[in-house]
Amino acid sequence: MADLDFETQLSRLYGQAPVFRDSELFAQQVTARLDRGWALRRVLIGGTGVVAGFAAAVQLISARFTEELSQVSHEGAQQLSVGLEQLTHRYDQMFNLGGSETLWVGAALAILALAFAVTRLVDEL
Amino acid sequence: MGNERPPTGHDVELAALAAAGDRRAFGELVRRHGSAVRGLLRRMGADPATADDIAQDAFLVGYEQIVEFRGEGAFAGWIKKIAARLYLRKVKREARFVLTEAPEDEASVASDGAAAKADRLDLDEALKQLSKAERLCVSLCYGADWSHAEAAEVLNIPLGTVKSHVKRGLDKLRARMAPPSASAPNDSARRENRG
Repeated sequence: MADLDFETQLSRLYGQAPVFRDSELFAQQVTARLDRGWALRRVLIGGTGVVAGFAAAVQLISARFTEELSQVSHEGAQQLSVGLEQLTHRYDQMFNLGGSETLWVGAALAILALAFAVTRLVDEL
Repeated sequence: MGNERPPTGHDVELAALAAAGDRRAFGELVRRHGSAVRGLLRRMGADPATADDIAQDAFLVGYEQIVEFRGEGAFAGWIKKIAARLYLRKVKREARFVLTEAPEDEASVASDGAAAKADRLDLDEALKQLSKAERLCVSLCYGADWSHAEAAEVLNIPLGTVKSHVKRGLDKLRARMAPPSASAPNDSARRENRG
C-alpha cells in the first residue's frame, strides 16, 4: 500500500462490494416488490377501466333511455290529444243526438254502479 | 412458462431490456449490484436494516428511471447515486445529526496503533473511527463518486465544510489504514479540483 496513492486505494476499497450471504434473498425481495408494484398497477388500471367503462355504459344507456322516453312521451302526448279530441267530438255528438235524456240515463247508470260498488264494499268489510 | 434462465449480458444491455419492460433483466442487475449498494449505504452510516430498505427503494426508483440510464457511466455508479440521495433525504428528514458538527477528538484515532495494524485494510472497521458527518462525506465522495461540490449541494452545506469533513475523515482513515510513510499530505487535492 506504500506505493499506492491512498485516495486511489480508498476508491478501490469502496468499489469492492462486501459479500452478503443473503444477497440472493435481497435480489428476490426487490424483484418481488417490482412484481407486486406492477400487479398493483395492473389492478388499478383494470379497476379504473372497469369504473370508466361502467360510467360510460351508464351514460350511454341513460342517454338512449331519455331519448326513447322523450320520443314515447312525445308520441303519447300526440295520441292523447287526438284521443281527447275524438272523445269530446263523440261527447258532443252524443248530446246532439240524444239530448238531455241520454245525460239522465247515464247519470242513473252511474248512480247504480256506485250503489253496487258501495254494497260490495260493505259486504267485503 | 417460457425460458426461466435469467438474462445475461452487459449491464447496459440488461438496462436496455429493463427499459423495455423486462423485469427479469432488471432482477439480474439487482443480483449483480445489490451488495455494492447495500455496502455503500452501510459505509455511509446506515444501520443494516435501514441500508437494506433504502437499497431496495433505490432499485425500485432505478427501475422507474431506467430509461434515463444511457450507459455513459457504470450502472453501479448510477444506482449508488440514487441510493445515496435516498439515504441523505432520510437523514435530513430525521435530522439525526448536524452536518456542521465540530470535529471529534482525534487523539482516540491516533493512539490505537496496535488495533490499526491488525485491521489495516479493513475499511469498514476504519470508517467506524470517523464522525457521522465525516463518514458520510468521505463515503459520498469516494464510494458514490460524488465531487465535493455535488456533496455540498445535496447536503445543503458550504463547500468548505464538506472539504473539511473529507480531509479530517481521510486523515483518520490514513492513520488507521496506511503506514505513516505512505501518507501524502494532500491526497484530497485531486478530488477538490473535480468539485
